[in-house]
Amino acid sequence: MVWTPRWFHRLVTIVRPNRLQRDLEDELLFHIEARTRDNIAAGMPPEEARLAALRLFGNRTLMAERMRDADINRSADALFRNLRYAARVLFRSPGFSMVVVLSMALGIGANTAVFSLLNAVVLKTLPVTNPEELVILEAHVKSAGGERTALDWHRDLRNFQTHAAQYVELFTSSRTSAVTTLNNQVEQIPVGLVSGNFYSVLGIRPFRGRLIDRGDDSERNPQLVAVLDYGFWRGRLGGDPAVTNRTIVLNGVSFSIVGVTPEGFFGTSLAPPTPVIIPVQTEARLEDGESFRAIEGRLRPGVSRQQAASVLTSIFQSSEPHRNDVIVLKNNSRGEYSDRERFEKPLYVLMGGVTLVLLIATANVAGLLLARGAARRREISIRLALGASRAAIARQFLTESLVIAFAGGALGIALAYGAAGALVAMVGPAAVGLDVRPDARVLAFTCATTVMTGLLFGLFPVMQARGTTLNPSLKEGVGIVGRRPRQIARRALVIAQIALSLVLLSGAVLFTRSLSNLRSFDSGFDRHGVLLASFDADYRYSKDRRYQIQNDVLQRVRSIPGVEFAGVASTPVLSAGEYSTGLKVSGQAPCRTSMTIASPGYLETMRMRLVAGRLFEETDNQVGAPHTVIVNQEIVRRCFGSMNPVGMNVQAGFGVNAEIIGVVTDAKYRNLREDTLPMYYIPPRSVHPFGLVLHVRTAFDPRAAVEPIRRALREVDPAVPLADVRTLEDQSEQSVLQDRLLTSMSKTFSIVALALAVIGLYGVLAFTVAQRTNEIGLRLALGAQRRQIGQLVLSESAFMMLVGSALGFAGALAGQRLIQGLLFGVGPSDLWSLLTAVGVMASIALCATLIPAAEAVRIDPISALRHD
Amino acid sequence: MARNGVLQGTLDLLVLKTLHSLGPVHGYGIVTHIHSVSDNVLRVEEGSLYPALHRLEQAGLVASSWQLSDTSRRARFYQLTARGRRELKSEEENWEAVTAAVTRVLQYS
Repeated sequence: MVWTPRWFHRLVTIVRPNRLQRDLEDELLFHIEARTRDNIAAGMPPEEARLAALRLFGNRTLMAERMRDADINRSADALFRNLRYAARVLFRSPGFSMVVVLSMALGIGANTAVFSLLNAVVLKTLPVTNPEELVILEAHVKSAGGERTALDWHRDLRNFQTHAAQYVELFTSSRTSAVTTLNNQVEQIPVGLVSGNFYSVLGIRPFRGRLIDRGDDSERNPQLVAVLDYGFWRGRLGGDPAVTNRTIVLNGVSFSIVGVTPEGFFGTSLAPPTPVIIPVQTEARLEDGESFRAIEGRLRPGVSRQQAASVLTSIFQSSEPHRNDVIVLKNNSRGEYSDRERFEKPLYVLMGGVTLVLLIATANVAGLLLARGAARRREISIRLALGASRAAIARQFLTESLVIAFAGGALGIALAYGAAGALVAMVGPAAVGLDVRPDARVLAFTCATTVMTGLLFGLFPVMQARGTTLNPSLKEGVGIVGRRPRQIARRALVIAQIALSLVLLSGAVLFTRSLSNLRSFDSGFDRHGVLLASFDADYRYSKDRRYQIQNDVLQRVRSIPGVEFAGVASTPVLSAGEYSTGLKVSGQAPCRTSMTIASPGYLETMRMRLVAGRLFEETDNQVGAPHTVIVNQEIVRRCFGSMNPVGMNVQAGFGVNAEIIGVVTDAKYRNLREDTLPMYYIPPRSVHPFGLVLHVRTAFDPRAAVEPIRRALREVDPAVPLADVRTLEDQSEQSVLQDRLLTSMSKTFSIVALALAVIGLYGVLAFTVAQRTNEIGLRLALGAQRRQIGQLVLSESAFMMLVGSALGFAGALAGQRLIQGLLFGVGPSDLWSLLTAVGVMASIALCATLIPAAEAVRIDPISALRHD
Repeated sequence: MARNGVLQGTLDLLVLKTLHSLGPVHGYGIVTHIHSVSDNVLRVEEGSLYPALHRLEQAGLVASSWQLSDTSRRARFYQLTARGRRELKSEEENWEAVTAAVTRVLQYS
């Protein structure tokens, strides 16, 4: 025989209540039959025997109930029944259900998408053990807030490693690029450089073979070994299992491949992983200069950041006399991400905006549920009359709301998956290293959001049902001017929607204005009509030849028809980097300035205006001629005060003694928001750099110059590729990425919010008109003007608009203060933006009002009075 | 409850003990067993027995299954589980203690 377990009974009880019922009946019937048989055996007449047996049971239904109660977990059963009922109710009106589920999916999906991005940029920690112990080292002038200064990578790192080993384990990683041949094709690939303890300190185990260790990275005898990134090994080398027997040639040097990194590990910065990683001490073998190396570390257990920092600071300061810079340890648990700072605040603002959208969607769904609740008053009354408890009805309504919320949440996650990808695409190159796939934190966020919104909009129908009384509801619809439900809750919800939409809309207007200010204000150079490109011969060329190629290319480009000016410069503007060197006038303290290496033609290309003296000429860039520099007005203000600097001799960067030959206007260099930097320009031949960026001003669309330039380069040397082709406008657009993100997202949010608010407004008005059909008919029959009927609807709409706008106005003013730091050229409490928002809102609301108003006006008194 | 003033809460004890002595048995078998063993003094009411059986089953003290009775009818049979046996033991001890105490009170004069 089979003894079924308890849980099975419980399950059967819940899932198949009918079967349970039959079992109970059977069990009791068996008992009665057995008793009857015994009674007959004892000599009773059959009929009496049966009745006697039945009598013993008393109230059989009651007993069956009691048995059932004992059998089942009541709440689970009730939940299941509620779920089934909720599903049936939702399926009965598929149109309604689709609208509410889609509203929630939109709200929750948008929230999940923005949160995924926020998570990837701000919250997520590196996939290593105890990421909170990771730090990154910075030296600052005097105090933590002071300007950053450079660390001597070789000497200081070794010094720290010997003297502070019990506080922090220091390691380093950086990236460079090298030429290699892959599948018979020459290409330049990014190469990672790590110190020998990098993998062991981070606790990373190899996927295959081994990783780089201390032995490989010895200073005296570095090993030519390489580790491959998992994705590169899978994607480009087909996951070759024998890869550890192979070698890879980088800049002509052969490295033996010793292993593959584990999947999902990408180093300590959120940049795209480097395909190949080699010991940092082997970088010299690539013969391509030294990359910038960050000093990173992992704190020993129990050591605080401040503690380790003060130890490092004292080591640093005592290593050399007169050194008073301070070492600061920054938390690096999330990994290095150069764009984190500029995206962090905008992302929080977007999160706030998208939360408002969700609130509006929630209010909309609540309004729809209330409207349907009004239609369900009879159903509730009947259920109350049949003895359902109010708590049971409340539970039922709440279950329905949660079913809607969860359906919306599930769909929302699917939407978010696509939307997060679209967001990353919108952010472009700055987001390439980001992993926005939903992780546990994102899912927890979505679940919490889903439950909270479900409870929030579920509350409204519950409150409404609580107010339902037995009697009047059953009689409802009989009288003409009888007491109507006043829809206070629905109106409040519409008002809230209008107010919140207004907040979003004014934000969108502000961001749009701010972005257009950024795009159009005078940045000191002309952003239009300039093409940027890089071309650099690689390690296979001699330095003289590389320099020669640069000059020849410039010559040829200048002769292309339509090219007005051309020049090369060390860093293009708005690319967030420039040399930082001093400018020293003999007998004075050095003046802290920035430097751009710029050939003749660069300043003309940028249309920076000459204020005094002259611009560079070809002779300034010729070997043997006296060194010259040009300064901007900010340098004159900071370093020369009232003196005219033209003709003065100064010591520029790299120890070059030069004459100031001119002064140009100030411009924005790193980004459009910065305070003006003191900047001077020096011709390339004075400092001999490589890899300068080509700047070309054209009389036509700069993109049309790409092919002629490519041809010119081919004529000079067919083996040198043209890379990184973009216009200065592209560069400028990249630099205002966060503003574009805020603008386009806030616009999208506002459109969704407006649409939802208008649907809500329309719903309430249309419902009111439908409800008052009899009353309006009666009024018309008694001689009311149609105009007055129209005014009735308009005034209701106007009331909600006014209250909503007033509240929204206050909210928008408060919101403006929060986003002030992200705006450009837009003052606090900008009334113009607010009024624009109100105007847009009001005109759309008017459209939503006209339809129900027209309907009310068209009501025919005769048929209206006959109507129910 | 039993008609003859059996203490509240003894029904479970009687049922568990019956299942212990008889092995798998249906509800009707429990009633007749208690009736005859108690020399027709204790009568378990049907209205109380079945809810009690189902309650004991949910508490994990007894298990049930559908089998054919000796009259070849489908009937639900109950039997003790391991937990039921333990529970019976402690209930029995409890009962001994209570009755002994009651006896001592009654014999006090």
